Amino acid sequence: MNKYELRVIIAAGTLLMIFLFSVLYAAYEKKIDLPACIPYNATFKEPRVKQVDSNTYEVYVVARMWSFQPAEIELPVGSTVDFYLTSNDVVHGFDIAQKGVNMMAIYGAVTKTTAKFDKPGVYKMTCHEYCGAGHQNMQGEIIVNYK
Amino acid sequence: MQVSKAFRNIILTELLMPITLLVFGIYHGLMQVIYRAGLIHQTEVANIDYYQGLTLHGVINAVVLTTFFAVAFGHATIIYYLKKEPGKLMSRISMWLMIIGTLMAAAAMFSGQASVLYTFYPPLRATPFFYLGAALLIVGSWFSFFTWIKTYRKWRKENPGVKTPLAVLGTIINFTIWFVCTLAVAYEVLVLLLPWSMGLVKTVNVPLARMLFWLFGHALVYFWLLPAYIMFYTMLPKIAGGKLYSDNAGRLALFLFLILSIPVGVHHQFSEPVFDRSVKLFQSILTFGVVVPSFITAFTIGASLEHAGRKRGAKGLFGWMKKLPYWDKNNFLFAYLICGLILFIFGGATGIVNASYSLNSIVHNTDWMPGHFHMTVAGPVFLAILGMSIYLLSKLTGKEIRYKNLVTIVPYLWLIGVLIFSTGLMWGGLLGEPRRTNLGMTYTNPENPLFHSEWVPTTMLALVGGIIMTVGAVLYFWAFFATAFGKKSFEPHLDFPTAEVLHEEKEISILNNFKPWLVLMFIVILLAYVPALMDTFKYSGPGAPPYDTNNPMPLDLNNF
Amino acid sequence: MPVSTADKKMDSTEEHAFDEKFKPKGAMAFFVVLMLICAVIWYGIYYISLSRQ
Repeated sequence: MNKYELRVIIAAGTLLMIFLFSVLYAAYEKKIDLPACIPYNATFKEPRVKQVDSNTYEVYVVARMWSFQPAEIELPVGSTVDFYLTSNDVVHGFDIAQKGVNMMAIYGAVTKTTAKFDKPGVYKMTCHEYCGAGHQNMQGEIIVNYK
Repeated sequence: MQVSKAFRNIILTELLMPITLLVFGIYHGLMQVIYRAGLIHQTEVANIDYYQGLTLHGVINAVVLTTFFAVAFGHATIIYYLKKEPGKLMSRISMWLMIIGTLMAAAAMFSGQASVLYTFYPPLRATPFFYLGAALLIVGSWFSFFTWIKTYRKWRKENPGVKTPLAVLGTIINFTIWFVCTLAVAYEVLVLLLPWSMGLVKTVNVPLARMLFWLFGHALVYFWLLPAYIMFYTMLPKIAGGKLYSDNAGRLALFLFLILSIPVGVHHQFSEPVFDRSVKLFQSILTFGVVVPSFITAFTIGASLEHAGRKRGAKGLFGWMKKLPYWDKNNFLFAYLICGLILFIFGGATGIVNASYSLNSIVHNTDWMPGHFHMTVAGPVFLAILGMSIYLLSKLTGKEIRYKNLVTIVPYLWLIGVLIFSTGLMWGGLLGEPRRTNLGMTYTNPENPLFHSEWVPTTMLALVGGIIMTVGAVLYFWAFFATAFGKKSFEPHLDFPTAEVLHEEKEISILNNFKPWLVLMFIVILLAYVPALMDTFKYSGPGAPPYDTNNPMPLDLNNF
Repeated sequence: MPVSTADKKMDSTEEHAFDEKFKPKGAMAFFVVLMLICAVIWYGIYYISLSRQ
C-alpha cells in the first residue's frame, strides 16, 4: 500500500462514515427510521382503522390478491398514523411514495411504521411487489381532509 | 497456448448456449419497456404474458448467462494462468448438469407454470421442474469449482513460493463466495420449496425462505461482478497500453469481497418484518464495508489507465482520459470494459443509496432499483461478458471476428442506451413508480382509473433507452453468430492480454494465503446471520400454503 | 489481440524511468470527482427522505 492508496482508503472510509452519521441523525433526531417488526398474532389479519385519540390512528392493513383492505382510508389533516401490515396470501408491497412509507407485506409476519399527514390530499398506497396476474391493479387511497 | 479439444468444446458450449438464450432475454427486455410505457395495454404478446416474459428476462440474463459465463471464464483463467487443464470428467458433469437444469427451468418458464420472477418468492408457487432446474444449474457449477481446487492444489505443490496469479486468485475467491452462498439457496430450493411445491409439505415459512434467498442474493451480485473485476485488473491495463498500478490492491480487494459479499443480504430486506432494526443497521454498515474494495478498484484502475494515457503523451490532470484506445477495433475489449466502468460509477453510487438504512425507504422496490442494477449487472458485468465471449469464441474456434466495427460500436450504444433507460427508471422510481409491474394495463393507460400521468414521461424515457440497448444487442448477436458460423482461419488457441505490474511490490504474505480470510469470512457471516435467523423464528407466525399466480385462493395440491 | 501501439515510442530505459517517476495525480483527481458524484447523489436522496417525512 503506497501513500496514494492509503489516502484513497481513508477518504472512502470518511465519506461512508459521514453517510452513516447522516442516517443515524435522521433516525434519532428526525425519527426517520426503517419499519419495525412486531411478533405475529392472528388479530393483525383483521383490517380496520382505529382512532386512538383526536389525531392519532392505528391502521391495520391486510394485503391480498389484488387489493388492500381497507382500500380507502379517510383521515383528518394532522393525523399521526401507525400502519400495521400483513399479507393474507403471497408477498405484497406497500408504498406511500409521498410519505416515504415503504414496507413489505408477508404472510405470517407483521410490519409497522408511522407517518404523519400534515397536508390534505390523496395519497396512493401502491403494491410494489409482484403478487400474481392482477398485481398492476393493486392500489389503494388515503384521503386526507380538513375536519 | 494450446487447449485440448475437450476443453475447447466445453468452454465454447458454455458460451454459445447462454448467448443463444440471451436472444430471448433481450427480446423480453424490449417488451418490458414497450408494455410499461403504455404503448400497449395488454396482458400478453405472442402468447407470452408480461410476468412470464419478465421471469424469462431475469432468469436468462441474470442467472443463466452469468453462471455459464463465470464457469467458462473460470476454466479459461485456470487453464491459461496455471498452464494446466482441470479434470475433464468433472468439467463435463458440471456442464451437463447446468445444461439440463437450464433446459428444465426454461421449459417450465415457457410453459407458463413458473411465472414467479427470478426471485421465486414463496408462497407463489412454480412447477417443481423450475426449482429442480435452478438447483441443477447451481449444483452443476460447483463441480467445475471442485476440479479447479484440485488443479490449483497441484499447481501450488509444483510451484512453491510462486504468487498465485491474480486472475486465478479471483476465480477461486469468486467460486468460494458462490459455493458458500449457494448452500443457502440450495437449502431453500431443495428442502423448503421443492417438497412444498409437490404437495408433500403443506406450508412454507415465508420469512425464512426470503432470508435464505437474500443470504444468496447479494453475494450473487458479486459473483456476477468478479469476472469483470478480474478483467479490469489483469487485462484492462494491458489493452489500454499501460501497466497495473498495484497488484496487491487487487488482491486486497478480492479478499475483502470474500469476507464481506455474503453477510450483507438483509440490506435487500430493510422494508420487511422479522428483522430487528439492529440487524438491519449492522448489515447496512457491513454493506458500506463492501463498498471499500470497489473504491480501491476505482482508484487502482484509474491509476493504471492514467499510466497508459501519460505514456501516450497525455498532459494535465485529466488529459489521460482522452488518450485511450476507445475506437481501436483490433482492441475492442477496451471499449467493452471502459463503457462498463463508466456505467459502474453511477451503478455504484446509487448502490450506496440503497444500502443506506432508512434511505432505502425512498427507493425500495420502486423503478429506482432496476435503474440502479442495470448500471451494474447490465453495465460492467454484461459488457465484460459480451466482450469476453466473442473474444474467446474467436480464439477457441480459430475464426476471425466478423464485423469488427460493429463489435466495437456495440458497447457505446449500450452505454448511451443504459444511461437513458436508467435515468427514466430512477426518476420514475423517485415518483413512486413500482418495479415488476405491467404499468401499461393500468398506471400508464389513460383510460384506466389508476392512470398516473406523471409516470408517462419517465417510462417513455426508459423506452427510448431500451430501444437503443436492443439495437446494440442485435448488432452484437449479428456479429457473434456470423463469427460462430464463419470459416476457421487460424489454429485455435487461448491467450489473454495480461498486464505487467508497474512496480515490483513487496510480497504481503497475508495476501497470498486463503486461510485467515476464510476464517474471518465465516466469523462475519455468523455475526451477521445468527441474529437474523433468530429474529426469523422469533417474529414469524404460521407457514403459508402455495398460491397460483392467477388465483387468490390457496392451491390444494392433493386434488391436482 | 495486438496491443495498440503508444503514440510515443519509448525504449526500455526510458520506460523504466517513466514508470519510476509516475505519480497517479490524475487518478487521485478522478477519485475526488467520483466521491463528489457519490455525495451529490446520496445527499439528493437524503434531502428527499427528509422532505417526505
